Amino acid sequence: MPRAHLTVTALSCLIATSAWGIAEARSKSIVQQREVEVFQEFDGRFMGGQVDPGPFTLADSPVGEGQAPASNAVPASLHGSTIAVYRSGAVVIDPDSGMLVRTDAQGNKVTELAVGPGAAQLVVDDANERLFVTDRTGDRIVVVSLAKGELTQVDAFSTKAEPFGLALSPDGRTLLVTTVADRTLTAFNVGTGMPEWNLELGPEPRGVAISPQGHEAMVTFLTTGAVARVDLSTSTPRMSFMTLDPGTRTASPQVGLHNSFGNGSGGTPSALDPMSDEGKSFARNAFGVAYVGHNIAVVPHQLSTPHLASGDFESEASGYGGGNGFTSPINHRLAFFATPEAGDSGSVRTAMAATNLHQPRALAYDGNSDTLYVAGFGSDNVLAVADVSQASVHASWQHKVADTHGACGPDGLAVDPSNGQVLVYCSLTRRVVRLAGDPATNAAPVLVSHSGELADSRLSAEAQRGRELFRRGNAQEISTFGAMACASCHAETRADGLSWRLQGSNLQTPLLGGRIAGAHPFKWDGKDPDIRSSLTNTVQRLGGFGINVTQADELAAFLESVEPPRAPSVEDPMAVARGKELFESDVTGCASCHYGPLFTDQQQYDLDTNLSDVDTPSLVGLATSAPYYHDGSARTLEALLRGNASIHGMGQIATLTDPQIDDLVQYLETL
Amino acid sequence: MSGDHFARALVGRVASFMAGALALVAVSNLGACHTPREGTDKPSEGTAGPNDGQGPASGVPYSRPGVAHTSNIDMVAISSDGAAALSRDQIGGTRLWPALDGSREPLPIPVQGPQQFSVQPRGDGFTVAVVDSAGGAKIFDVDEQGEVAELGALAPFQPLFGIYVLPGGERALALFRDHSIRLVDRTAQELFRFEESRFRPTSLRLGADGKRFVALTRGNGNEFEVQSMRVVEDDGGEGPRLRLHGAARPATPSQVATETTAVLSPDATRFVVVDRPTNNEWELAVIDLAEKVEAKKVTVRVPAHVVPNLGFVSNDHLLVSTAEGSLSWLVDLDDGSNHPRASAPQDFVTQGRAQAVGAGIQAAAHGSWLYVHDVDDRSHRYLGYRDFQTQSVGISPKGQWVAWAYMSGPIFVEGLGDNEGERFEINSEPGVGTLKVRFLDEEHLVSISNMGGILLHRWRDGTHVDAAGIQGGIRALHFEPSLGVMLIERHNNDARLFEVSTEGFAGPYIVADQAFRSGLLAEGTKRHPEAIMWTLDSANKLRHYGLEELRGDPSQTDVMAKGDAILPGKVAPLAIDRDGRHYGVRWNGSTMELFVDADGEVKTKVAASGDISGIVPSPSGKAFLAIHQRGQSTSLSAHDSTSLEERWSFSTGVFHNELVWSPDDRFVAVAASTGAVVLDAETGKPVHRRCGIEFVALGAAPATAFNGLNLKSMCEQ
Repeated sequence: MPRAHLTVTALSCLIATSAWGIAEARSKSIVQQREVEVFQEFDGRFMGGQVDPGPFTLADSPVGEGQAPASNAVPASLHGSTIAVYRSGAVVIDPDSGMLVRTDAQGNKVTELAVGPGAAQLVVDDANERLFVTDRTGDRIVVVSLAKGELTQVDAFSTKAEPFGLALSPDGRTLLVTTVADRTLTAFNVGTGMPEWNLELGPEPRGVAISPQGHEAMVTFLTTGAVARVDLSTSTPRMSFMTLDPGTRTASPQVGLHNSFGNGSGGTPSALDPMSDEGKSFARNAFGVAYVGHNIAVVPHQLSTPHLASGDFESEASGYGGGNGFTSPINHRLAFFATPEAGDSGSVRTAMAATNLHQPRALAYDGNSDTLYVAGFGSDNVLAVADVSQASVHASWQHKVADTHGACGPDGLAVDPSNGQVLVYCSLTRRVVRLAGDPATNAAPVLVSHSGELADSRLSAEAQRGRELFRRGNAQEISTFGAMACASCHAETRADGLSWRLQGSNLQTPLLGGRIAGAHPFKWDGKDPDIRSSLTNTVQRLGGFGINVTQADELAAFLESVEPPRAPSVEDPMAVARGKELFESDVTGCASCHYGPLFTDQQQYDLDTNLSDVDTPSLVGLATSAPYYHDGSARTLEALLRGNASIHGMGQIATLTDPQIDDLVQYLETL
Repeated sequence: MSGDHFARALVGRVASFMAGALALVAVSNLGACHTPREGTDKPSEGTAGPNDGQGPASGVPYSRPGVAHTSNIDMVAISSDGAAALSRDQIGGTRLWPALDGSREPLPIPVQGPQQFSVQPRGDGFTVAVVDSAGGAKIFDVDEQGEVAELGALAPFQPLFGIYVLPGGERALALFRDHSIRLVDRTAQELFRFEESRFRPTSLRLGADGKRFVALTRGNGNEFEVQSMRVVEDDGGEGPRLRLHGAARPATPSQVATETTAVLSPDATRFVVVDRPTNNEWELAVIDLAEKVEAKKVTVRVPAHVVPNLGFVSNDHLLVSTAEGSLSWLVDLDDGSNHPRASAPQDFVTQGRAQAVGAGIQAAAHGSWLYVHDVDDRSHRYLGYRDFQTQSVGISPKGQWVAWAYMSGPIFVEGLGDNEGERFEINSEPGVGTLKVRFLDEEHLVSISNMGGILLHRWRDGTHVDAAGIQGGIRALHFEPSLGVMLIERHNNDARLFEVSTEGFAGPYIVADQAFRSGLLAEGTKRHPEAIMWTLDSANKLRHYGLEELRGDPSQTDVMAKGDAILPGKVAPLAIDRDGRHYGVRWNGSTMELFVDADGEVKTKVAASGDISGIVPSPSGKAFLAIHQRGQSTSLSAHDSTSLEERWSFSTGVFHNELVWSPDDRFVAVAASTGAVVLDAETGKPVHRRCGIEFVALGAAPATAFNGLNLKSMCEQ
């Protein structure tokens, strides 16, 4: 019987096994050769039903209406951003440095205010000459006066753990705030700074937006394939869900004797297996949401297919997701949800549009021209979607925002209502770019101004370069055709909650933040002795042409700089103490393998899995790294502790009582 | 809707199939629908009454129109009493079939791409539960009027394998992916949660009493265990609870167990799983859940290369069917005997998964239709719409009636406004569908068949007033009831003008001027006040013709000599309205513009990206419609003819076949590949929709059952 231990997570999607490394390298070279030929032939675009969608391709009928909505119908403060326009200048919150910066119309820094590293979003309350900022590490909303051209902190509201998204109601009285660690949506009375109500959300909430009529709000998530719609029309908010996930599996080749007339929509047995994700796509990384006209909410997101439908044709040489290397496991989309107006009933109409923006994230709406601007965090480009609230919705111009200062990494957009110019906040260079374009034409916008560096990065120069590489999309050195970036599965260096098909195994995407330095070896089988070799092997497995030693060092420097995820607030300290005692006791034996600052003995064990050995993973950030085990077979910590997953025989969990399981879970979520 | 009618479909199998018998009587008479017959002499009752033996099977009036599947069905569930079914199509559309006897049209359920679903009757309505595409669950109430309301939801934060409405429709069992089973009420409020160590259910099967069920727990490979469970009512005030019942029973089939290869008897005492092929048969493992004895093996005459589907007909009889159209077998589980039964249709689309059996009723997918098989009385029927691809649409001059025509069947006239709910059927020639339809007045309409046959109908009583004809190759139809003229464009560019009155047709006057575009003019133009029509030829020569001129049979020499050349630099119009204004599109640099040219006074408006493939001016000339093609999508935009400002726009999906104004400018109607809709011309809001024409129950499904377009129905938008 193997040593009792609790295996929870390790490294897979980015830092995965190298047990197949040599064989993979040989076979991959053949695959890559074929890929290059196809790549050249088709101008670098994926084939097989996944042709480059161009800037904007609607897959459904538009949900918009005919007439352009009334001008300025949607204030920018209905959703948060890292940048906002104020009196022709800009206010910017830089999450890297935690500095709040005010600029003039030319982008020159006027003044600044330290909020705190990780500060996430801001909204401007024009009527009261103030703004609100979420201080992600300080668990507060900072209220800043904009009067007299200054930035002056005038108040702060305490929040649940790790506030992120912000939205100000149309009447300016209510501020909605999402919290990442505590997974809540809280409504604050702006006048008193007191919470009025609180809704429990699911894992990884991020953006929030309030409808222009104030009757509903939308909340987005990184790892749930749905958007929460919150009815604000009553005193008791009610939540419903609108799905982003496509509902149907892509079909597998129909092979084999029984499958010829077998049972199932996909043809292969795995398509019938409720435990199988083959052919299923999952919406991920919905960072933000914005309302445009006619009560339409737009949600940029990514579609991940961790187990491509490959049937019996899957081979060792198969690419990420088990595919043939010609089908992209990652695509990017914009979701359009047309919801009923205030007081109306009816169903929500949905339309999806594919886009070539990589990691579309930042949004800004210009009500004057009915144009939505969306930026690709991984591709550094901005897209203008014209007539976005109308049936005539279409792509207008698309523009790359990168210059000699380096890649942009746009994570904030704003529109100057006085002239329709678009302000882009480049998070990698910490600069503001101002563009003047005409959404009525496809003509490239004019660069109006380019600010200087607004704040100093907290990271070393090497780590900054690693951060840029980590999010870089369309990079063939990273993945096949550049379809996948490191951040595709590890947004914010976290985990996508999926298990990816790799050489015949389903391997759960591990959390990276806080689990790198001192956590070697890497990958689920522990075959990569250090982070650099692991990164190199992962890029090879992603189908990339490869990174050099310098790039590996840069990526490693970045990953080692990332803080672990925040743990949720402790509600019952006594339960946590009891759980800790259990964890460290011989009763469970957990701590015999999971000890030290990272809760790992850095050893490997034979756990009767399809891997030869399984590395003891770090347990840091456990609350945010579900599902658990190398194959993701434990959806929750409760399921894991009840033995309701694929791994058995670890620890003495069979004898745990329900209260003991509750205590252990509460403790584990604090790690 | 009549409550009596609706209740009829819900009172259980016996009543359901009594109604089914009525429906089949109707079906048996459906052939008459394609034979000229007298219409009713009571127009207000229409011809669709359920007992008149003449109308379509959809006899119950429509409080909410049904909606056809526009793609092949790939998942089916049935209620435990066999009275209703749910279906999902390949593009994720979901329908509730409130009756399986053909008396009710399928209703759309507002969820796209459910992963799993279930339905049970509740009173006069239904409870429907679905696991949505994100893994969350939604519970809907469908009332006796067919209205659907979401009652509650389970967040997708913790995804589900399935949600199973218990018989009675008051509760459901929600099976989560963390393997917990939660008993919830109709609002999704949790009543009890069941979690057990080393217990990993991945699917459930329900007994018929709403109290007994089994959980299937996965082992290695295809192995699984069947664990009996109970919903226990706790009299101690703690509410209902879930309990294990007896020991788990192992199964080791040769393939993955699915909903159709591993089934539970209604009394929850037997569990049968398709075990493995032997020679040219299959072995079924019959697990006695009441007695801990070794599973009994029963063989069934299904070829080894075809995995059979199972469904309990009664506690001791099992229907074993296949997906390739060979015989089904009713298997007596006590003595192992096999009895031949009718088969579900050959199903290459879903490979057999899209079927379910409840209370002796088998429901299975057949393209966009539903196959319903009563195993006990050995009857079967196919339920579906003959078509949903509407070919043509006409609106009566006073805007009181709309007529739908489609390629393979009759014309339907349905009431608008005060006449809403009234419906008439006009037969087309057998085997020849209708290509075009227009109203002459409130009593008469004109139809043109696919072969070019032209009929003037007195539509209320079905009388054929007159007939005419034209060779095929019809490109477009222009109709001006106020002038009593009809212009038919042909692909070989020789248009035909007919005069039309309530007495019949005069003409045709053939205009063989090689025009590729033409239209009618109600009031002439300034330069051609006598003109009744215009044509435009490939040399950009614009010709106008008066009615007297055409009646005078002009010589071809005279015709070719006349006309006004469109000057270089001018763009040929796409349309000309009754005031003689020219409408078209032109490029201005890289920008496409709409233009309206009123005798040289040109106004323009920048068009949104994509192509404008057509322009349709309103009869009054006060507005026009522009047809936009953008990628795969088609949309309409309505504009003021003077200011060119856009009034509204409407998305029609991919293809539309016809776009017409009502003669009084009040409505715009669209006939499209996924249905038809009448829009308020002022607002663009739909006032009437039909996405499925001629709902019927047939002994054999027509070829149109596989006319799936893989496009969302207009009625789902």
